[in-house]
Amino acid sequence: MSTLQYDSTFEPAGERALTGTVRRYLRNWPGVVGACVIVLIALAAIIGPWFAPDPNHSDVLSRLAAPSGQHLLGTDDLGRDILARVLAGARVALVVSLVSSAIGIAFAMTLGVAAGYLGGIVDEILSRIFDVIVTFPMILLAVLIVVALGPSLTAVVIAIGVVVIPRYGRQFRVLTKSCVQREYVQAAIAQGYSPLRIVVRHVLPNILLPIAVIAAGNMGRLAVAEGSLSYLGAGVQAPNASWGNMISEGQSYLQQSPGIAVYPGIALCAIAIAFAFIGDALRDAFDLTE
Amino acid sequence: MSEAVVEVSGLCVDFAVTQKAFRKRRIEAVRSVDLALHPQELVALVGESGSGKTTIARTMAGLIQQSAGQITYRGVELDRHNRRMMHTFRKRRSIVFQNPYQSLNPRMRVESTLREALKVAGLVPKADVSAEIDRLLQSVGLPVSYRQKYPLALSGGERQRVAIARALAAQPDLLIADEITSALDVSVSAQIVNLLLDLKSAANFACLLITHDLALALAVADSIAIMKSGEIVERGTPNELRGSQEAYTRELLDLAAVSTGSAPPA
Amino acid sequence: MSVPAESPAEGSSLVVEDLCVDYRIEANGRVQYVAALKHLSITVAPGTALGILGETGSGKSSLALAAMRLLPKTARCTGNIQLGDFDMLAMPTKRLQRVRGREIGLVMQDPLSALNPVRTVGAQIAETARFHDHSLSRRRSHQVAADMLESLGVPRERARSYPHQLSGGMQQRALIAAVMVAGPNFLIADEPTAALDKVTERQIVLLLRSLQRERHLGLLVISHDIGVVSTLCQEVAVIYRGELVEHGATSKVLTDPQHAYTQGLISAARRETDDRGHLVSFVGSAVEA
Repeated sequence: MSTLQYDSTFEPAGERALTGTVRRYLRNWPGVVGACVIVLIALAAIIGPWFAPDPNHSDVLSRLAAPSGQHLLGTDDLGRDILARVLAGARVALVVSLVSSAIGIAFAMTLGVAAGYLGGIVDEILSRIFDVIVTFPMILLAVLIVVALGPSLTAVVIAIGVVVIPRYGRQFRVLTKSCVQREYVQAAIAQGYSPLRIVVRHVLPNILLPIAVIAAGNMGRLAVAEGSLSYLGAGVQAPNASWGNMISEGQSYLQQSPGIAVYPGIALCAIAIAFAFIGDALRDAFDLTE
Repeated sequence: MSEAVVEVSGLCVDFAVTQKAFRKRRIEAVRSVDLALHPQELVALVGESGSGKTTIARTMAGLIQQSAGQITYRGVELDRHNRRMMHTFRKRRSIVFQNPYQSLNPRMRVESTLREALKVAGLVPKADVSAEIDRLLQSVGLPVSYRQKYPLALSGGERQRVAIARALAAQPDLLIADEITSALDVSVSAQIVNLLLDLKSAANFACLLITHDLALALAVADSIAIMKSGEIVERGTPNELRGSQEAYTRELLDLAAVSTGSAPPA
Repeated sequence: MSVPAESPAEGSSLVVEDLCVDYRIEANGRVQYVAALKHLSITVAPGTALGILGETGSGKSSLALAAMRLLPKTARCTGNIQLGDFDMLAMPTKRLQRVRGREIGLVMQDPLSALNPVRTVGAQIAETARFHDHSLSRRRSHQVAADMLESLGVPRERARSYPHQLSGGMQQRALIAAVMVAGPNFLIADEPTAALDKVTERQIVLLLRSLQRERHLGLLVISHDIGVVSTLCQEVAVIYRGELVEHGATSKVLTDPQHAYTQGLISAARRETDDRGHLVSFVGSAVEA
């Protein structure tokens, strides 16, 4: 009993598909540039403390100094090294993006998959909750949460994480619903596989990839959100550095020392654009048509 | 013929469809259907799209709840008083679907899919699972080396074979084949159907074949039920149906004759 | 020029000579070319219908795409395709855009993906009519569209429907209307009924047949379904793995097939059974010979 020969060169097998993805990503130059930028920023943020001066150390004698050998980007109104503060701000931006994404996705996954898989009243209730939270302007809600918890880095992470939950929750819900309709899941349900097994082995592995791509693209927006919060004073508090509060302080000194506001501004733009490029490149590389 | 392993009587399935302004309308997808399935028997349910045949398949697979009627398994009526029997029935029936490109989890190798099916069925001791995987692959005509493959590397026919192997892992009493050949080329689908015929004799299960292809049913089924608008309009053996005088059956017979090139086009 | 009720008695012929189509594949880090069609030569005489019978992987769809010059960039194509006097493969793109639609139309398998989901069918057909005949006013073009739909069995009022609001059969009729309104005298139908159920399929096939007969269209039907090909075409060519394996009058090929593949295909389609009650099916190796 034989089948007519199937020409498998038309479709790559599981392992070969992955190298194709990497190659496709590398062909997308904005994506490559974005990835390099993020890697550079991350490295600089991590290694920074070894080379740069203490971001909070005030050298009162050289306030508002121009860039020099000692202070590569100059100093701010309190004599603090701008480069060191930008790097410190980078650490804040990256930590907030990563950790709040992680928190948000973890909760969103639990709630969204439950809503999508169980349907019925659970779905109705969760969907309404998601809808209500989503209608609140993101920054406003985050500010309220930070103020309620008392401004700090932890509060910012929690606030942004919470704000992000319904957005990812809806994604998880929709992806779960469409995944459950697929025949291999229906067959598993019919066969009496336990819901937990179905969700963990058949649903999640097939929906995490689209979510990861969306998350990567979104990180930039979360960094900007952190910047907005600290700009408004509802984030990382002085004297600690964050791009947002540097921009806010530097506003008054734009004439004398534009660097105080401009450098963190450039860094924030760079990170936002880089993540956006990465998100697009990932989406194309994985060729997510569903 | 031995005792029926599964019997269905008075099966009704309704759907509530929400129309504008929250009004709901009940659609009767299946109206009072009776069926009996015996071991090694191939019963074909033939009809056009919308006839209710897919709804029956999914109801018997436990994916849809019936609105009325009884399902009897091994002589025991299944209802909420017989949870244990319902659980047993759930484990001992399998379903294979139409779309070969969705029938397998794309992230799991063939081996993992079969291993999981065997684990959930719990009929084979852990030590024997690997050997059983080999045996299942061989019984569906695939080389043992296919264990390592991902579904992406398999053709449509091969994927259906793996789906059948997975269905067999549960050692089912009832196998429901929902349009399993509709998405395959005619040459490949012939082989898959032959596989099903061999397996039902070897593994002793009843097979419910859902199809829109009357020619296929006439060729291989032991008994055929023709469905239209949720009801069975005629049933019988292939020979009985070939001589049928029922208007709808004759219409389907004529269409089948033309589409197989047996009749000259009008 | 909207569709004339009486076309010139002579439609165009389609002559395919030595057509080879390869697809570029990247596998294992190497670039390979996989042959989809090998040295295919067929002729469709004016006003007649030729069926191409083949299964998945036979390369039949590549033929339709090549004839319309719609092959993807990864495809490499050599040979000659002549539609009447038009050299389809060599013609400059600007000229091709006028030939496509107006001289030769393509009806495909999935009407939902060929029709624009956010425009009503009437609007799409009217737009196509205006594109091919600039002298048509907007109002007139909508009339032409409604006329076309009606002539194909779709009630005039449905012109205001969106594609998803129509049944499968109606969608296919709407698609055919959109193709015919440009006034081609040659039609390629690539699996036109594969997505439809048997009853609807029959209606569409009969519709295509009467359309072809009334307007003396040249017709190339590509299908895996023997019933479709035998109803529509006087001549049939069987393709297996990119090669033409049998060619002749439909009635003759179906009753007395010469090539092993054709014999296997017909037996399988007829659901013939052997004495064990099993369906007759191919054994691959016998066909390689």
